[in-house]
Amino acid sequence: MSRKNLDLMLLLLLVIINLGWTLVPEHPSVVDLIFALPLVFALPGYALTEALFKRSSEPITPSPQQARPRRERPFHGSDRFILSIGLSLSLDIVGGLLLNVLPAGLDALSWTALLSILTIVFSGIALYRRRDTPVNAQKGRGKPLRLRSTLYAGAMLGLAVTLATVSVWVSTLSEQQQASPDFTQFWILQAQQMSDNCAALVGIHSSEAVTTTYSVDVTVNGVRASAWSSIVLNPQGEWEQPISMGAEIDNSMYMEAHLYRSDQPGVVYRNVHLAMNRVQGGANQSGQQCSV
Amino acid sequence: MGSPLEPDPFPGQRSPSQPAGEAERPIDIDALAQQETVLMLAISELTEAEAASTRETVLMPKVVAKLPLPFQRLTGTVLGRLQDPDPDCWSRTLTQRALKSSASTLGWFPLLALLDAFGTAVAALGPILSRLTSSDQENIFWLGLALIFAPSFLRLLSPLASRRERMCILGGLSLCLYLAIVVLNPLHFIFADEYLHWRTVDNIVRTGHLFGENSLLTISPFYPGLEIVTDALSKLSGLDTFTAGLLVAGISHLLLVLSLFRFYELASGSTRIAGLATAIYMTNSEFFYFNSLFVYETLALALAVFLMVMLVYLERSKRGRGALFLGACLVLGALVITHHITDLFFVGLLIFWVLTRLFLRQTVVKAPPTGLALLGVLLSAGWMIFVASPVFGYLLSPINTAVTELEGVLLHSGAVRQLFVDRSGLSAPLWQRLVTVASLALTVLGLPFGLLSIWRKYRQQALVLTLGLLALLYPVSQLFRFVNDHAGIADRSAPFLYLAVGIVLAIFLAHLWPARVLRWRHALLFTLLGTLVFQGGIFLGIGPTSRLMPGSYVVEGEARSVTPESIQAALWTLEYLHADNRVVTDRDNTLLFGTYGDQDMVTPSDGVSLSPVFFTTDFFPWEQSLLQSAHVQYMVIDLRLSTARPDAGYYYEQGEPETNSPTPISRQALTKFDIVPGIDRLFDSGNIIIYSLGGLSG
Repeated sequence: MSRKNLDLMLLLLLVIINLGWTLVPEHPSVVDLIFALPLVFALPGYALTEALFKRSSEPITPSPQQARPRRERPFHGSDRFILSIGLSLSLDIVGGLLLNVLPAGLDALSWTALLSILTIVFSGIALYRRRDTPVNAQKGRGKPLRLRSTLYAGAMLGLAVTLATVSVWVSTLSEQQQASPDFTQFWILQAQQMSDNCAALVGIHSSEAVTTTYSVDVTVNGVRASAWSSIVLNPQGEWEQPISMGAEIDNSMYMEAHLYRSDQPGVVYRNVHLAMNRVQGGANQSGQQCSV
Repeated sequence: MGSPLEPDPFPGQRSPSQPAGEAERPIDIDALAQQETVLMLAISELTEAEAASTRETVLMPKVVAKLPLPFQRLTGTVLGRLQDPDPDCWSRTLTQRALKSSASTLGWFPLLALLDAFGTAVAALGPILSRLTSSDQENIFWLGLALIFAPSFLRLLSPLASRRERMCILGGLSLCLYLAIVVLNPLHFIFADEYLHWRTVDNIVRTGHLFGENSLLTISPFYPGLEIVTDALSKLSGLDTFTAGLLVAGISHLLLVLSLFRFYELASGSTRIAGLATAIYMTNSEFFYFNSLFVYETLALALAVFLMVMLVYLERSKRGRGALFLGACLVLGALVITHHITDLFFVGLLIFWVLTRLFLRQTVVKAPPTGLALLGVLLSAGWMIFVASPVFGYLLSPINTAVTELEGVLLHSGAVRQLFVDRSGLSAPLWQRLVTVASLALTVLGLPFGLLSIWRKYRQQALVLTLGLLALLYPVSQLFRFVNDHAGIADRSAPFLYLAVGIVLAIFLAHLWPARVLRWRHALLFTLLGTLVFQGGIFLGIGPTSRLMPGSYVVEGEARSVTPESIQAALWTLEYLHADNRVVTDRDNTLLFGTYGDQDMVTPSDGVSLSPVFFTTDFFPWEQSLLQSAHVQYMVIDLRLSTARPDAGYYYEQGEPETNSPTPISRQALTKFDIVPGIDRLFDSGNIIIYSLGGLSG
């Protein structure tokens, strides 16, 4: 493998790993993120930069008559970072338009395929254009950092990243644990019909801070039809109960459900109501249908 | 141009201050030391003598001679110091020594990065303590921001910072300021517009295709650039839309800042001016808050400035032009479909640049800005006409209203908006008002001197001259603060106009205080003023800030209205009622039910105004007709609305009944639906009630 194309080889390797990874049925999301970030924000743009702008074909060491080597690149080496991100974002956007035209649309596989193909194609062009570039033209021109200064910079930057990360993490925790009023959800919906009987579904979801005991009573047209007591729910616990309306119930049903807490038995904590009509089935249907 | 460590990529291009014919040659540092000292003194004396002479001679424009004496002296000083051929040069000898002996080209950056992170940590304490103590701790937040900004600005003033160091400092500054926004609310979006774009992403994630309908922001699907990138990241990484959106916004923010530095460096020929201009850009009223959010302008602005960088490369480079042009076309295409206003502004800027070249009798026909301006006009017009035609009404209507109101104020026929008071009546504390006014004053007053500097030093450079003239629009845009500016012209124009303001003020600063006369006390003063301008810009953009910190529920208070109960109710509708039902509710719940709940929300953009239905204490037949005409299936009532007036100025839509009422909406009006035949009360979570209107007879 040529040292001068090491960056492009690495690019291609990442792309191939991405392609393979997409085909694996189940995989940890952290790894997905590690692969996705460069594929979306850097690889295609970097490959396009290398494809568009050829590096110098002349030796890096200037001759005495030459002030500096001739270069085709009209920008600083450090601009590669900006170009990689900017061109990657642009390719993503224009690529998304292209994917929209295809029947598959924008999904994980089509995104991986598109961004990978773009990276591979641009890398191929870059490889071809670099064919007559000497190895030392690829070297950076920056001043090599001293070890002590590298350690110092690394330590400070490491501390900075750690401090920023901890700040965001603690903020996240504080928001998660922010005290907010507890609440309970209570609902009634039309349920799937049970033979010729209309049915409703009553449900409770507890977002209270402590285990709570509830009771429910349901009336139909003012007459008590069903009741449940001692429904014990832990925080984030849920309870659901279908209610079937027998044939003896009128065609027009007004169902009302009340939720009580055991610590306040006489107080209606939540209430819901639903009106349903029993309708004769059509020519091709037997029996009766229910509608709200 | 270019540091000793990175050769000049434009060998044919000299910096504006570099005398013609100056050849690059090896420098004998020690031999020059003594000569340098004598030369510096001579230049300094000459500069002062010339300044004195300039003031006294008839060469000073008559108009300046009529100004008050302090302005005459300042102008004279500026004119005098404009004689300095290289304001960045502190001491060539000492600069070379400093760079040679510096531990690395990163200079102070590692320490500044740690300071920035410390500032972020302090800023994070603000919302954390606000939650813990249930009281606003925003002063701690402002302190954190000052700790992030000030040290970096101080270092950017120095002539000794290397190019790489300046880029790293600006990158670190950008990231830490972005994180300061994130820590306000790490689990939810904080601004209404973010939810609007989230809905478009959700449509793409669900359907796999673009241009789906978004009832929350009808124009958003037609400019899907932001949502496309977010979709790609979300699908490839498995991240939820919120987290993916945060990453996209953060990276856009970073690209914007680095592109700005590069753009200013290419335009001015000075890395110091570029660093200062970028820092000054960060003081605009939208940079810290609005341009950090998950909105299409965030990405579009980054792409637009990146495009300008490529254009300047294209204009000045003699090599790789074909490739650059291709790259620029790609970026232009992406920009056109990302954000309408940004696209229109930058195409307009290109046209302005071309006209300036024409005025300066420079090449126009074959110039890169001309080609790209033409292409920009074609692409933008084509996209707006053939794909995004609703954008005309979307943009023109609020602008027309704002201009009409301004006209009224100027002709004394309209009312002036009360300054420093938001729609809910909340007013900014005195110290924030003072800082805001000082920030605006310093910016506006610095512009004429910056323009003078540009006229003297850069008037043959079409791009810099264009930016100088563009900066004149900034004071004009601020006039819209005196009207009910629903279009937000005063604030929304800032990110674009500051592209010009930044470089104008940076050039002024660099020339008024060249490096060789810059002392520590000057640098500290400029840092203090710069931080003041930065803070003032934030107050200008956000308004009275007592709602910025997290805390207890606030009626129509955007982030303060996002509660677990509301989110859970929205999720319930998705699970039990499924998606895409026609649902009507108040302003902030519309955002939640339209995103978490994936419902098809009824909004004023549907052409029907339903707000009157919620204000009557009885249910009338006309209300039933109104609801049925809008095909409403479900209604979400938030009983908390009856506890206070809305922070946003309205509960449901602008112009609703009882807009000017001092009392909250009646609870009876909100609960009247319980006894209406045909309306079912399906869901009750205490504050949130969901009604089904399916039983209303036709």
